[in-house]
Amino acid sequence: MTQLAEKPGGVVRVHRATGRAPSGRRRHHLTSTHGRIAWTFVTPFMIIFVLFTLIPAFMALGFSFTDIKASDVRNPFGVGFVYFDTFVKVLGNAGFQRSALNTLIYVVIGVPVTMVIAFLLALVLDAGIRRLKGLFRALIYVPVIANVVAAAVIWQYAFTNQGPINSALSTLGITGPNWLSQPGTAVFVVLLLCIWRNIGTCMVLFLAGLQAVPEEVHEAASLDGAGYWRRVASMTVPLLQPTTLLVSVLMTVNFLNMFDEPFLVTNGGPLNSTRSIAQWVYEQFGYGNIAGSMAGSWVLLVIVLIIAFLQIRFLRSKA
Amino acid sequence: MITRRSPLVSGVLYLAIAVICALMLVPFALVFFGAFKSQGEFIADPGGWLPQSFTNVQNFVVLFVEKNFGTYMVNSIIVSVATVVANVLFSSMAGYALAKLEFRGKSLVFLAVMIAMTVPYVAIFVPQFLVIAQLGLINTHVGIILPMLVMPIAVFIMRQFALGVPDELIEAARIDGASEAGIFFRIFMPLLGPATATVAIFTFLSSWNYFLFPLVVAQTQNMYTLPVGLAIASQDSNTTNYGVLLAGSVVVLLPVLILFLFLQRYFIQGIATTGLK
Amino acid sequence: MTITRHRVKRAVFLGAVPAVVATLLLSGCGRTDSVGAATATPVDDSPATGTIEFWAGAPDGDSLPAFLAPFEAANPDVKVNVTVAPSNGFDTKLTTAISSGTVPDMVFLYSQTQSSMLATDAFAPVPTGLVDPASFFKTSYDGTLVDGTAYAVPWYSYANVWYYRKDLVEAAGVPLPKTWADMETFAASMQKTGVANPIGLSVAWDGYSAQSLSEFAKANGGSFISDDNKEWTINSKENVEALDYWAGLIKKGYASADGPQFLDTTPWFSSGQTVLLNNGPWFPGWLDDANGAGWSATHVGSIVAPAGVDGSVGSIGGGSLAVLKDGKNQAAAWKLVQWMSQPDVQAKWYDTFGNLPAVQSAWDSSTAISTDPLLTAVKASIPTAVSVPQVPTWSEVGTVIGTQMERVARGEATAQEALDEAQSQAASIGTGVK
Repeated sequence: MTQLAEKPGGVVRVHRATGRAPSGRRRHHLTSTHGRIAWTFVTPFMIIFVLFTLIPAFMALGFSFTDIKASDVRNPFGVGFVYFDTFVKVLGNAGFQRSALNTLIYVVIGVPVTMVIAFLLALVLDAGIRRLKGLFRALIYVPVIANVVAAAVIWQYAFTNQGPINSALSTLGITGPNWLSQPGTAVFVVLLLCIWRNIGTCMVLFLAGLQAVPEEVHEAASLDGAGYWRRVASMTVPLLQPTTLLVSVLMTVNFLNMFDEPFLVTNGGPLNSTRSIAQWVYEQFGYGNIAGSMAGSWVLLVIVLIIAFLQIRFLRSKA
Repeated sequence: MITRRSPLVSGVLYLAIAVICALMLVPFALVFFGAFKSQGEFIADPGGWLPQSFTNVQNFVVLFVEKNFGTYMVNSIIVSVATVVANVLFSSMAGYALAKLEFRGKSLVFLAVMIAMTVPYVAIFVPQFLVIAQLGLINTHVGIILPMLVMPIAVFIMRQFALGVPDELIEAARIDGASEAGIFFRIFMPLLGPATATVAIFTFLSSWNYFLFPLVVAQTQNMYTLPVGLAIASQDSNTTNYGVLLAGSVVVLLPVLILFLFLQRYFIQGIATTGLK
Repeated sequence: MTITRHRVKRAVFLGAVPAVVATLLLSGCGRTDSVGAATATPVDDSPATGTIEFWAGAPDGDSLPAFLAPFEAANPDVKVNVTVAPSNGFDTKLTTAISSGTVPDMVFLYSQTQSSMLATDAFAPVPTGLVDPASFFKTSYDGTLVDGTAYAVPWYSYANVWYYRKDLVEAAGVPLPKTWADMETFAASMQKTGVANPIGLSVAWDGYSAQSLSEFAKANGGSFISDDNKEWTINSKENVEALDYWAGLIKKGYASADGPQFLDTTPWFSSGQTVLLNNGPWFPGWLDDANGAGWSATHVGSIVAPAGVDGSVGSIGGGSLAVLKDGKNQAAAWKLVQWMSQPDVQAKWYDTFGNLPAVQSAWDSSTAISTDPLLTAVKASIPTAVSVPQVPTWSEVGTVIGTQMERVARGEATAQEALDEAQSQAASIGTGVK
C-alpha cells in the first residue's frame, strides 16, 4: 500500500495547496473545499463510468431507435430513425417473451433457493460448529472463483445422457433422465450451475452480517428460553435485514443478467426453455439485428433497475 | 457460543456441511480428472470418472508447447495485475470521497456506482469496443484494461469500508492541519488492509476470467489473454478437445486459487469489516 | 460564486455527453468511403509484398503459418500474420472489427454464416480472372455470390453423408438403403437384430438440424427459400412431407429425439446402438480416436443419402476466403487467395489438416483422397448437395426451424403446424435480400 500511496505524486501536490481546511470556517466553504478534492478523488471512476458505461448505454439507446442491421455497420447514415418501432417489435417478439419468462423463472426460483441455502450454511459456520470453520468457508467459496466457461463445460459434460452423472446414478440402480433434452430437467441443470456459482458470495455476506449481530441478543433470547429456530426467526433475521437487502439485490441482478450458464450449457434449448434475456440479446446481435439487440438490452436494463429499486424500497420499509 | 450443543447435533451439522462441501467440489474433481484424459477416453466412455493414468500430462504439453499458453498467461498477468493495482488505488479514492467527504453531486456519483453495477454487459460491450477504437487503443493492453480500471463493485466495497472508519480519526487529523489528500494517504490508506484483499480478489477474478472484450480488442494472437487462448486451444476439427480444455481450466484456475488461499482470511475479514451488512 | 461556476461546469459536462455520443455514433461506425464498388481491378503477376493480416478460425488457423511458408518463400517481401480466433466468437470479433474499421486484410468465412458476413458490405469483390469459377464445386462457388458477383473464393468443401456399421450390417445380411422406403425397411430389419436406435438423426434442434431437414426437403423436391432468395417457402407441401417422413423415423422408434448428439455420437455408433447416421467426413477420425487407429477402416462404410422422389441429396459445408475493402494490403491478400486455390496446394491442405479441397481436380490428383473408400460417397454427394439458404438471415431462421422440428419430434405439433409457425416467424424476420 505504501508504494501506491507514494506514486500519484501529482494528486498529492495539487491538493496539498487547496486541501487545507482549517476548522472554524463556515460550512459551505468547507463543502466547496471538499468539493474540489472529492471530485479529484471520484474523477477516475467518473471518467471510466462516462466512457465505458454511460456513453455505451446511450449509444445502445440511440441504436434502439433506428433499424440498424449488420449490413449498416459500415454506413450508419443509411439507417432510418424508426422511433419506438424496434421496441414494439422486441416486446411483441415471441422469442423475447419466452426468454423473459425463462429469466423470471430463474429469478423466482434461483434467488430464494440460493439465499436460503447460503443463509443456513452461514448459520452453521457462524455458531453451529467450532472446528474447521475456515476450511469449510473457503471450500464453499471456491466455486465463485472458478472460470464460468470451464464450469459450464463440466456441467454440459457431466449431465450429458451417458455422462458421469447418469453413470454414477446407474451404479445406484437409477436410470437418470436425459437431463439436457427435456425442458424441466434442463432448467434444473442451468439453475443448479447458477446456484452453485452464487452460494459462496451469499454465504460470505451473510456470515459477515451474522458476525455483526451482538452476542447479547442471543444471550437474552436464550435466557428467555426461546427455542433456536424461534430465536433465528425473531431476532437474527430482522437484525440481518440490511444484509438480506444487499444479498437479494445482488442476486436478483445476477440472475436477471444470467448469460453464460444457459448460453454455454444448453444454448437456450430444449424448446427454448432455458434462453435468458441476455442470451437473446447476444444472439440478436449475432444475427445482425443490432437495433433489436440494443433495444432488448435496454428493456433488460430497465427491468433490472426497476426490480432493484422496488426491492430496496420494500426491504427498507420493512426494516 | 452460548448454548452447548449435544454431540449428536454437532455431529449431524459437521456431516451435513462436509457433504455439502463435497458436492460443491464434485465439478472440480471432474475438471481435474478430465485434465489427464485423452480425447479418445472422453468419446469412448463419456460416463467414466477417473482417467486411465494420472501421469498422462499430454494435454498440458499441448497447451504450453503447441498452443503458446505461456504468452497468454503473461498477457493475463499484465492485464490482471494492472487492473488490481488501478482498482485498489482509484476505488479507495472514490470510496473515501463518497463516504467521508461532503460535495455537490455526491448522490449523483453514488447513483452512477449503482447503475454501473446493474447494467447488463451484453448491452454495452459493442459500444465499449467502439470507444476503444475511437481512442486508438485496439490491440493494446491498455485497451483491454481501461474499461475495468475502476470497477463499480470495488468503489462500492471501499465506500462501505470507509463508512466504518470513525469520523473522529479524520476530524482529529483535520484539526492538526493535515490536508485532505494527506488524510487520505496517511490516515485512511494504512487502514485499508482487509478491504484491499476483498477488492483485489473481486477485480482479479473479473479481469482474469474476462473473455468477450479481450476477444474483440486483441487483434493479434500475441495479445490474447488466457480465456481467449483456451477457447482456441481446445478446439479440434468440428469438435471440442475436452482434455485440453480441462487441462487449460486447471491452469487458469490455479493462480486464482493460490491468490484466494493466501488472501482468504483477510478477504472474509474484509467483507465483515467493510460493513457489507 | 463557487456555486455558479459549478453549475456552469455541470451544464457543460452534461451537454457534452450527447455531443460525444453523437460523434461516436457517427464517426465510430460511419466509414463512408466506398472502395471499389462492384468492379474490381485485376491482380497482376508481380510478387506479393508487405504484411498480410489473415484471420482464421481455430483449429484450422493453427496449421496455417507453417502451411503458408512456401508462399512466403516464393514472395520474399511478404509476411503473412495469421490470427486464430475461437470459431464460436469469430463472427462477433469480425463484426465488431468491421464496425470500427480496424479490419484484417483477409479472413476465412464458414459456409454456414458466410452470407450474413458478406451482407456487412465489408468485403471486396473477387478480381476478374483471379481464379477460374468452373474449377470449384458449383454449390460451393455459388455460396460466394451476392447479386451475381463473387465476394469470396471457396477454400474447402465437404458434403455430409451417411456412415454405417459395415461389420454389423454385413453380419445381419441387411441390404443398404437406397431410397426413403428402404431406409425404414433397413431400420426395421436392424432393429430385429437388437439395435436400439438404428438411425441417428441430427437432433441438436438448431440450425444444423434445419440444414439436415433441408436435405430431405430437397430430395422431396422442396426448398426453404424461393429461387430468387427473396421469400421463405418453409411450409411448402414438399417440405411438410419431408418433415413428416423425418419425424416419422423418430415416431416409429427407428431414431431417437434425444440423441445421438454432443458426446453421445461416438459411443452410440461404436457400441452399435446406432448403425446409420448422418455426419461429416471428420467422423471416421473421431471413431479412430475413441476406438484406436484403423477401427473405421474395418467397421465403417459410407453411402450417399437415401433418395427421395427427387433423388439423393446431401448438404454441403466448408468455407471460403474473403478480402476486406478496408484492409491495407488487398493486392497481396488476393495473391495469397490465388495461391491457396491451386489444386496442389488444396491437396496438400488435406494432407496437412484434413479439410477436403474446394477445387474439383484436387480430389483426383491427391492419392490420399482418391484412394480413401469412405470419401467416395462424399465426393459423389457434393454435386447434388444442398447448401444452406445463402441469405443473411439464415442463422436466425435456421434456429427457428430447428426449434420447430423439435416440437414435431416430441409430438407437440404436426409437421404442418410446426412449419407454418416457422414460416410465419421467418416471414417477419425476412430474408435480408433486397
